[in-house]
Amino acid sequence: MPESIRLTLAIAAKDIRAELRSRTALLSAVVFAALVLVIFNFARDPTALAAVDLAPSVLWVTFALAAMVALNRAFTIERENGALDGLLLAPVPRGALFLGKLLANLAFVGTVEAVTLPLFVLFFNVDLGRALPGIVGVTALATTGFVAVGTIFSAMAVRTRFAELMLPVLLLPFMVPPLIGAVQVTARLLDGRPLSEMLGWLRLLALYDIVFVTLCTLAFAAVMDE
Amino acid sequence: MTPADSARALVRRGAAVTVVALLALAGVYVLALAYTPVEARQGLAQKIFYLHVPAAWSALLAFSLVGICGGLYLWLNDRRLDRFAASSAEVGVAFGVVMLTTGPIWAKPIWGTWWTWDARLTLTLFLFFLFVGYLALRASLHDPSERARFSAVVGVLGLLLVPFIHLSVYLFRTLHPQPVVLKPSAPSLPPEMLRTLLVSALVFLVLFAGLVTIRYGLALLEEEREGGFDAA
Amino acid sequence: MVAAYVVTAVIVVGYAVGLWRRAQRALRARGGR
Repeated sequence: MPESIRLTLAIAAKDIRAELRSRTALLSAVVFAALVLVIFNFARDPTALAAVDLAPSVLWVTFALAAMVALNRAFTIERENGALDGLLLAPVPRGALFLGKLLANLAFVGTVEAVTLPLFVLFFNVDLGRALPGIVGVTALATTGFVAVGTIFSAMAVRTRFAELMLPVLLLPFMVPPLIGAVQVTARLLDGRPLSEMLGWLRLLALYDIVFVTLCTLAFAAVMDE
Repeated sequence: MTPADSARALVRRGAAVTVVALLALAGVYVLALAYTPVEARQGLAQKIFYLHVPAAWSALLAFSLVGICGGLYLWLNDRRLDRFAASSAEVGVAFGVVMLTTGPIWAKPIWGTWWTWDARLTLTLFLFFLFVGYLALRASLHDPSERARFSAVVGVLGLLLVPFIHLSVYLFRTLHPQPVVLKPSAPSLPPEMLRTLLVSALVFLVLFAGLVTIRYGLALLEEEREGGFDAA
Repeated sequence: MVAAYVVTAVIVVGYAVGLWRRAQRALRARGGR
């Protein structure tokens, strides 16, 4: 067991280092997120709709789209480097391989989200206040879910001709439950609602994470077999 | 028997079943339109119910089969499961289109809107997206073994997504009570309506079986032309 | 209401016919009896 954990962390570290070196995916995702925020701002009529009403949806659509961009780039880079083949030849348990990639992708998407959130606060003049820890928490919870499914799907999509199109087509239905939950919880957090009103959604998010992280870990072997 | 012979036999048998089912469907049309009482509150529009609901059930069945066969394929590696899953998916899409067109046609006179995000319609939409994703992925992969494995994973994950979609919509609805205008299906159906619904469902099921059989035969032929799982 | 019945028939029959023709094409391409 400890060996698998060590392997998982090693794989995650390798991927994170690779991304830090090139930085292309990170930058493109951040720029993309900023662009989405700008567009949302210009699309909205400030007199008709208060920023705070639209805020949760805008934030999460931005996170979702940025995550998609990030996931696509992550596997594409690896395919270009041919790094995956080396890993597959080594006797690495596929589950550890998946979890390593998941951790790296989470670090990656998490960074994009961490940069996007202040931009969001800035552009939309939203007062996070005491909601911040909650928002960080729900972001972690929801992101884990769709990045897990996104990691396995991007591994599949990368082997098709139109990977950039295939990933969203496959992934979007799977992003909906975490997104709905995240938006609902975020809206309540920004409103200062009590925790009891969010418990149902939080349980949904947690259950989604448990089910899909487990399933994707188990299924990864089928995707990696050569 | 060579694969081509098996395929030919399957296509013939499937076609026979399909023709019977289509004739029976015509019978269902007559039954639903002429021999079933008109519902009091919804009027004639309610009759769409006898097509929409069986189509939705068939689509859900099709998708469940895709997911279950996918899971079984990952476990047993039997290519017949993969062929069956692919066939079920394609036929499922056809029923899905029926479901997604009859749904709004029905909704407009009843709810005054073409679309509403209630549990049933939302689920039917997601089912459709999952089908499309599954088939798109299959179409983009040319190595038969890879195609079978990858789509099996998508199938299994997709099937497990369905309860979560349902749960999300349910949670959303209970916290945002929608004005209840008219419910599409009364809690208890009068016996004649129930009879028509069940007959229609049975006919749709037979139609599904016939179409899947033809499609399976076609899958056999395509696999053989590609060179089969072993050639890649 | 009638539209729904017509649309259903078109989709179902259309798909069945299309499927049959694809199968026939594949059988002919395979050659033989």
